[in-house]
Amino acid sequence: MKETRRSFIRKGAAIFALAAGALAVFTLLRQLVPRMIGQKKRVKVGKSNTFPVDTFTYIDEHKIYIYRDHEGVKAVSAICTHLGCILEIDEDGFLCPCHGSSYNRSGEVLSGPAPRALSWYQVSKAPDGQLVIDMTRQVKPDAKFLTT
Amino acid sequence: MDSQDRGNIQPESKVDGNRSSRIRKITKNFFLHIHSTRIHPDNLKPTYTFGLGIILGFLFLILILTGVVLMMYYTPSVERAYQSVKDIVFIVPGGRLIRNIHRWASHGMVFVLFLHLARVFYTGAYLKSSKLNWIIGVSMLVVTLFLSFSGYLLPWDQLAYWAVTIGSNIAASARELTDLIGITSGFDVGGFMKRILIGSETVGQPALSRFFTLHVIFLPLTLLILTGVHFWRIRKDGGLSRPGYQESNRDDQPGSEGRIYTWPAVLWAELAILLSVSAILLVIAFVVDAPLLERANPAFAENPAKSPWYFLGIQELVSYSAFSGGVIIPLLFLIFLISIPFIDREKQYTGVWFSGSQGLRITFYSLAVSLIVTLALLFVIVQFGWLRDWFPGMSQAVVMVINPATLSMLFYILWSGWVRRRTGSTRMASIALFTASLAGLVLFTAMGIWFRGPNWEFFWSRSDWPVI
Amino acid sequence: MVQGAQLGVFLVTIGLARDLINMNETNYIRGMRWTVITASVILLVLILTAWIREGLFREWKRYQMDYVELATGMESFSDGGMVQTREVYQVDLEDLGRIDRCISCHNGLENPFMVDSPQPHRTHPGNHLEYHPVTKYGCTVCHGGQGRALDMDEAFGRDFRFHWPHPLLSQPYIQSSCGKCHLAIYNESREFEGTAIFYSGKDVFSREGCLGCHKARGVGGILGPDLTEQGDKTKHEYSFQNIRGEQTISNWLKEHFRDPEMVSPGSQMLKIDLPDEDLDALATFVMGLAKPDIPFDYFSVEALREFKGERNLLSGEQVFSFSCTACHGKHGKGKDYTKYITGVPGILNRDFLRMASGEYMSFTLLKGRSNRQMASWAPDLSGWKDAEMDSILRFITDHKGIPGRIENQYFPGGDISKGMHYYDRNCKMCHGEDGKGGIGLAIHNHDFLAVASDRFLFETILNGRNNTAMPSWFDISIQEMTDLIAYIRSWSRTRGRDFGIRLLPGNSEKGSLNYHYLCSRCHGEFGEGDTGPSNLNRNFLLAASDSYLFETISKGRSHTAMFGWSKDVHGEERLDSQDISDIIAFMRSTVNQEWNYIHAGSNPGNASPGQQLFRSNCAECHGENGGGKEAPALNNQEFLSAASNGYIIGTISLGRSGTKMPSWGRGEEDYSALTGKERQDIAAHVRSWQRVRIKKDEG
Repeated sequence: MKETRRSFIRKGAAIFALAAGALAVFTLLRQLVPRMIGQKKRVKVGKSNTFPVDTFTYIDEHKIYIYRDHEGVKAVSAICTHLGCILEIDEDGFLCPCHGSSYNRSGEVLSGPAPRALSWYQVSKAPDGQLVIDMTRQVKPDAKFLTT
Repeated sequence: MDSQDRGNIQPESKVDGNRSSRIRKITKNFFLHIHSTRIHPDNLKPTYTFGLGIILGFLFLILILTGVVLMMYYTPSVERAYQSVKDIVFIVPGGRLIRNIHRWASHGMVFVLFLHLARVFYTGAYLKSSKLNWIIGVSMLVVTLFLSFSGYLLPWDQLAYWAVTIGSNIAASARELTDLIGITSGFDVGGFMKRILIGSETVGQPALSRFFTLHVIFLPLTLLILTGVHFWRIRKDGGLSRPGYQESNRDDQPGSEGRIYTWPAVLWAELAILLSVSAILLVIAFVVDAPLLERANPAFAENPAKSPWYFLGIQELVSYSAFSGGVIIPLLFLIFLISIPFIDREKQYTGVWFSGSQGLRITFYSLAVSLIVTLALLFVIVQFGWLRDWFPGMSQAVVMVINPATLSMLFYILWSGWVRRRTGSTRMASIALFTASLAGLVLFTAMGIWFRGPNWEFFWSRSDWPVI
Repeated sequence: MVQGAQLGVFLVTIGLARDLINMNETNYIRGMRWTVITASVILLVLILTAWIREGLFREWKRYQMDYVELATGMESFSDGGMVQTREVYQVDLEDLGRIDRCISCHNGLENPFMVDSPQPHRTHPGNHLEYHPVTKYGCTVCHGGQGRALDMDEAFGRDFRFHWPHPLLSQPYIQSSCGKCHLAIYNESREFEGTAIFYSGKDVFSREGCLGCHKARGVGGILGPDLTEQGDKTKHEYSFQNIRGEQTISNWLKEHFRDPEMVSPGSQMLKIDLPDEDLDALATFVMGLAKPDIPFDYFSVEALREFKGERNLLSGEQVFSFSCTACHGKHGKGKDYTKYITGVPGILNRDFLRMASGEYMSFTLLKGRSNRQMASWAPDLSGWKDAEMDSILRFITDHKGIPGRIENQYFPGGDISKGMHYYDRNCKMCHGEDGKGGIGLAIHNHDFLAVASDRFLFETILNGRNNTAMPSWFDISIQEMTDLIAYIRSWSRTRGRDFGIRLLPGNSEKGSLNYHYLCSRCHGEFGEGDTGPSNLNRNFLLAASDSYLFETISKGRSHTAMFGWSKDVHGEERLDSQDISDIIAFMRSTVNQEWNYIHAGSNPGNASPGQQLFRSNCAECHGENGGGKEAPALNNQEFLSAASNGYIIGTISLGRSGTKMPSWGRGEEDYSALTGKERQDIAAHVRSWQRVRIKKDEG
């Protein structure tokens, strides 16, 4: 009986020590992972009439392009899906200066190492008349928020 | 046993003092007793080891000393970092030189590190020792690379900022795979790696603080500890590798003839190397200034934005496919490196450069194979483009699997397998694979350094680059 | 260099290796010792060199020693005491976020006796240091340069090797630094000594209409980049790939002004054709258009007010000069459609002013024209205030030179044949031969001439009728007018006059109901004209007296569809005086009311023959589908929402002298006249391109 109790306690102590140690290590490691603050999800970008018609306008803060024509407004991500560089506009659509990925005006990949098409975000209007871009909601490339 | 004229250094019994005093000079000193009291003359031949390990050690020492000086004047805040570096250059007496020495020593250390890795491999040093030392060496490689990378960010100029931005995006390369499968929103490994690395989505103050802490305390300490274990293992394994090594004629065996006393020969050699390395560094520091571009400006990307030179090979790979170039191939290369001492246990090949003439031949053939295959693939992709240019609309998943990097890797593996069958020796096979991979790495790195310009397009020389 | 060193290392190693093969321990040690000696010697030499270079022979130490010599050598004053020891002098400017060490070399800045000394010992010119003491401002905030450096080349920061974004500025561009704190574009500001070129640049800026496309401090257009902080931009932010000359910002700006499209491909900016010194001044001005990130107490009060958006109201002429002249020209002539990428209409063009109503111009100003250079100038977009929008409209319409209301009732005398000549030339194309009518009203109508006074005719001819095809003949002389009226009167013995009529007080709401029930059938839902003329028309209502209205409504107009509502009706539709007074009250109430749409108005034309006619006559310049090739785009939605059918028909009929638009009503050398019906058909075709009806006030 003594043996079993001693060995039981020994085993128990070892297990507890190990558990405490593991938890401590894990907690320490967890400290290395930062809390992400300041990431905006739904953003206001101003009224629709501040955007020139038939043009892609870049919004630097949120890294998106706003496209407006006579019928409505669309919003697309300006971040290349390859390694995250900011896209430029060219005749065919979008071009990434880092490794040459190119997209058409609907955001589909034409060439280059980009793995997937660009995301289009939902556009709506706030009560004060400003456009709201919801970057948590993706829509199809031809979906347009109508302003007429 | 070593009186034969093999071109070794012959021991003599009367050089400096008698035997016991020479032994005691080593054993009674804290710093000196890292050394064994006697050393095999083969290990003293410069053309054997080239002193690469010791050069690395001294470079590390110089980096620590210059680093401490720099640390006193440097401020790790995004508002002040750049100007504090400028003040080091302008105001601190000799600051320009100290900074230059620090920079060129760090580049030198990475370069010499690869040379040392090659030396240890080709002399088959891992064959005689425990596998652990080789693994420790590989970890030291990783730590040194990370040390250099973390230090690269500290000046906070355009070069630093964009190099680290590219590096952080490479760290997030797993996103390519998760995006293709479509699980990124729930399982963003790439994003997680990036966040751990730079503390945020973009490089900013969190990244600077993180890198500074790693660079001045955590990584140097880690490297010091690893160095200690590395040296201890060498002692435990009976000294450095050399031709004709056997368990029976280890350095620490009593009555081993032909040994040279460490004191004073080895000490003179080390002093010579220390002074030569310092002199060379100082010459370079006088002549070439460490670069410092404009202050970091997140609104204006450098084009091309290049990571530090030792990562440009990976950056070239990543331009084909983020996941395979940034995650798979580096991982596979590391796994290959670590696994070498497990796969190859043919002890008879230890100590001799290229393990004999057969190994030398295989090295040359592997070099040739690697050059031809990799250059051909590079030629194709530069001249004709790649799969997505020929078949628009093809999924990137295909390119992820089939691109010049993966194809080269496949080729090297096949080559190495063929060598294995032809020679029946794992040592020869690992020589083949190691040589081919290293040559391939050098080629891709050279491509990234010299032949890639704005928009990552191919240019023969810098003067052909268009002005942006 | 680095490769050379590496090669050297390699050779030395080989050399050593060769020496040490077949060596014994003694020789090995000897070899190592020699290496030690060589390396130590090199190290010693280098370190000593470093000490000497860094310690003894620094540039600034030499300058300080020279200064002490110079100063003690002067008879009158010795300032040697200021620079006693060789040390680095600096100014710590926490507010400006910088440290300036210029005074380590420039020791004689505040020493008035150093006026004739060579640099760097010379006294600072002018009295600038009195107002900008070095201890508060430092040097680099005005002069540029790298304040922390201690060597001249690095301090000047001009060479690209130094990667310093703010190189030292020299005259005249250094004047731009004054502007950064002192400039007030729209408010009054004082001109200081030494800023002549900068302010001359400001004059160029306000004359050349730059704000037509660019914004500055909240005011201006959106086609080009905002220039408010242009002066803060560094070289890195400009693209020099097409700049042949000096690679400096000032030169970039000048070459850009001379040929924007070459410097920035894809730019739609027009070339600025001015002499070099004006371009220099303009470049200096642009470099001073900035909002530096320094505490507010460094700025002048006028500049601060402007940053906050407070500014004085500008006159219409100033607004025109700031934002319209670049495209529309300093005299409103517009730009040739064949010489420029897209032409620009002449808005002070005589025929344009004849046709364009206030509503047309106001709508175009507010909405702009999509896909063209004409941006929307609505106050919340352009920064111009509502009062300034009105001023600009008045500035434009003032070019007509129309006096106020005419009071004369009679214009007796007048040469009938001369009047006929004028009529045939200008009026016949719409009002028909002998005034019998065509696409315009029949003037040769007894009932009409019986109620219309001379004054009514005068005002109608002079002011036209807004948004109809009746132009404003503002440049007609009194003599011509008298002749014309005489000719018109020759058609009828009756001569209308305005007589005082006592109307019963009218209820405009009831009048509105009656109007919309009865009158709208012919006069249009909004009184814009349909089969009947537009009568809820401002110009008409201002010209027509109450008697005119009463008589016309009650008695009607023979030979037209307008019957007398008091006389010729049967049954319930009969209107009595009260009803008519109500209707008149309602009509009068619409004169100054708010409007949101410009109604197209009447046009009985047919679009399908119109398409044929368009193709054969108009497409050559206006494009097959009205897209505009060498002439304005007619299929533009904003244009179609601003232009009534009357405007279109009128413009076609009148043409635009001074441009390539011929008068299709009169006919010209190469272009034969089109009949009224044809012109109406073309207008109908143009109208068919309208897809949306744009409101003036959009939410």
